[in-house]
Amino acid sequence: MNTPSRNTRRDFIKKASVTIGAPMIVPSSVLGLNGKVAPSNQIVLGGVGIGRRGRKVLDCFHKQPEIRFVTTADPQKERRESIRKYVSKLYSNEDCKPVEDMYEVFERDDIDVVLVTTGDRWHATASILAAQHGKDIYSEKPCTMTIRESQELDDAILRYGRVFQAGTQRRSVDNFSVAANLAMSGKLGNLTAVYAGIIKLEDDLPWLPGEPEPDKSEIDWNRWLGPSPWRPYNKAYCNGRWRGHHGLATGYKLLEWGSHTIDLCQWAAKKDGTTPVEYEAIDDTTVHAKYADGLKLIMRLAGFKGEGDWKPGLGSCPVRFEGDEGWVEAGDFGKIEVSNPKLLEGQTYNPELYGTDPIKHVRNFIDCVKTREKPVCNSTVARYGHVAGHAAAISWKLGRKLSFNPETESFIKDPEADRMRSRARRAPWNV
Amino acid sequence: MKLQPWTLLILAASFAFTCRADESSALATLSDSTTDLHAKAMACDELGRVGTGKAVPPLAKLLADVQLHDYARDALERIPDAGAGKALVDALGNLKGDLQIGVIISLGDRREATAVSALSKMAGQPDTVGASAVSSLAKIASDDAGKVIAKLLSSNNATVKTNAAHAALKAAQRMDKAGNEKGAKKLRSAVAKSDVPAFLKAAAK
Repeated sequence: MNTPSRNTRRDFIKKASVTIGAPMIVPSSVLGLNGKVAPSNQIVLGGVGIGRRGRKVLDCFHKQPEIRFVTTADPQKERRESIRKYVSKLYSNEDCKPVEDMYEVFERDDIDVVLVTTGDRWHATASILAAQHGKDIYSEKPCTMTIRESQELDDAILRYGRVFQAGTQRRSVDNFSVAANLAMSGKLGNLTAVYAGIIKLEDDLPWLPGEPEPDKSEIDWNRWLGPSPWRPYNKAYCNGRWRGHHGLATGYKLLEWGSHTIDLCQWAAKKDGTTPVEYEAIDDTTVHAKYADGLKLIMRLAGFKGEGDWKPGLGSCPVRFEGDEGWVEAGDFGKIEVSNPKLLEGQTYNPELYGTDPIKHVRNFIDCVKTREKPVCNSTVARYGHVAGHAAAISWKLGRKLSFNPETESFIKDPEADRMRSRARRAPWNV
Repeated sequence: MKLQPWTLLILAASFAFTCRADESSALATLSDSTTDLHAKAMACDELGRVGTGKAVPPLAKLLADVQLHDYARDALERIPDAGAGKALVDALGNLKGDLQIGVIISLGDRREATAVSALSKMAGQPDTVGASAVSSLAKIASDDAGKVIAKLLSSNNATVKTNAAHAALKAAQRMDKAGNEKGAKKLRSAVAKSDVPAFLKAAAK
C-alpha cells in the first residue's frame, strides 16, 4: 500500500533536482554507490519510549544498511537526552532532536517505521496510533494489556494494511527455530504437550506512595501514564518499578516470558491462528491449558536461577516440545537438548545467538516493510499468542478452570472472566 | 520439606479465595469515607468484574472524581446492566475535558447503542471531543451510527473529514465481522470517494 511518506522518499532525487536545478553533482552515496543505500531506498525510523531494552533493539536496526534513525519521543527528559547523545555519536551530527509527544513522531511524513519500546501500558495504543498515521511498527512485548487490546491491535494493522512485528524475537533465533521445526516436521512423532517457561505469577502490588509531580519538562506524568488509569506519581515507576502493578504491567507476570514462550509453543504446534480452549491454574507457578484437539500447553515456572523442572544450562525462557517419539528443549543460551542425538543430525544453528538477541527478527521485519509481506510475528500471530497468555492469567487470578472459545475470543459460561477481557483506556488516548 | 495434606488444603483454599470478587464488600468500601484511594480503585475494579445494577449509582457519582474517574468508568463499561449505559450517557452533559472524553470512549467500548444520538451531536466537532465521539460511533457500528459517519465524510472541515474516514474504516471492519457486508461496503465506498489522505482511500479498497 502506498503511503505519502513512501512517495516522498521515492521522489527524493527527482524533487531535489527540480528544486536545485540541473546540472548538479550528485554524491555517489546518494545514488547508492560505495555500499551506501540511496536516500530513495532508505527506511526512516522513529522511536517511542526507547529505554534500555529499546537501545538493544535500536542497535539492531542501526546495523541494517537501509535504516536511518531520526528521532524518538519520550515523556522523560533523561531518556530523551540519552538517545540524543547516542544518535549524535552514531551519525556524527546533531540532527536528532527527541520530542516529548509521540504524535510528533507519528505526524512526520518522512518517518516510515516506528519502534515502540515503552512499558507494557503503551505498546498497543502507541502501535495503533502509529498505524493510523500510516506507519509500519516494531513493538516490544507484551504487545497488549488485555484480550480486547490484542483484537484491536490486529484489527488496526489489518485495517490500515501496515506491517507489524511483535518483539517476540525468539521465533527468529536459531536454536528455537530448530526446536520448533523438529516439532512441526513430525520428527518427535505426534505432539502430546508443549511447555512454555514462565516466571512466578504475582498479584497486583499496592500503589507506591505519592510524591509531588516534577516539572512536565522533566517528566510528564500524564503522558507517562498514558492509557493506564490514574495513580499518584512516584519516581520509582519511571525507573522501571512499574512491573507488577496491574494497569501498568499486564498478566500478573505471566506474559513477561509467556508472550515469548507461548508464541513459540503456538508456532511449534501449528496453532498460530487459534488458542487453547481450556485453562486451569494449578498454583502460582503452573497453568495447564488444552487445545481443541487435546494437545496440552503447560505454562510452568522457569525462573532466572534455573528454577523448575527444565534441563539445566538452557537459560531463561525455555520451551519443551514433547511428542510420542521424542522431545526437544531449548532456552536463551542458544543450546538444544533432545531425547535422541539423532534428532539433531543435519541441523545447523548458531549456538552463539542468544534468545534475547533481536538482530534476525529486526531483519525479517525490514525485509517485510520492503516487500509488504507479513513478518514471522505479525499482528495476527501476536493476537492469538497474547490472548492465550491473558486467558491463562485470568484463570490464575480467578483460581478456577475456564473454558474459552477461540472463535469468539470469549469465555464460556463465566461472565466474570469475560468481563476481565478488557480495561478502559484513560482519556484522551483513544484508538 | 514435605507438606502435610492439611497444609496443602489451606494453601489451595487461600489461592482460590483471595481472588474472589464480592459486590457487597466492594460497595461497602466505596461508601466508607475512611478507606484510601487505592482501596476504592480496587473496589471499582471488583465491581467491573461482578457488579450489577446496584453498583451503578455509586460508580456514576465517581465519574466526576478526577482521581477515581478512570476506575469508575472502567467498571461501568463492563457492567452489563442497562443502567450502566444510561449513567454514562447521562454523564456526558455534566462533564468537561478529559472526563467527558473518557465517558465518550467508554460508550464506544461498551458498544452502547442508546448513545448514538448523543454522540452524533458531538461527532462533527473538529477537536478531541469530536474525534472521540466519531470513533465511538465506529465501535458501536450500527446502521444508524454508520449513517452519521458517512455524512461527516462530506464535511467542509478537513479534520472532521479525516476523523470520519478513520471511523468509517473501523465501523466497516466491525460490520463485516457482524455479517453486515452491505453497510460495510457502503462506508468503504464513501471513504474511497471522499477527499481524505491517500493512505485512507487506499485502505478503503
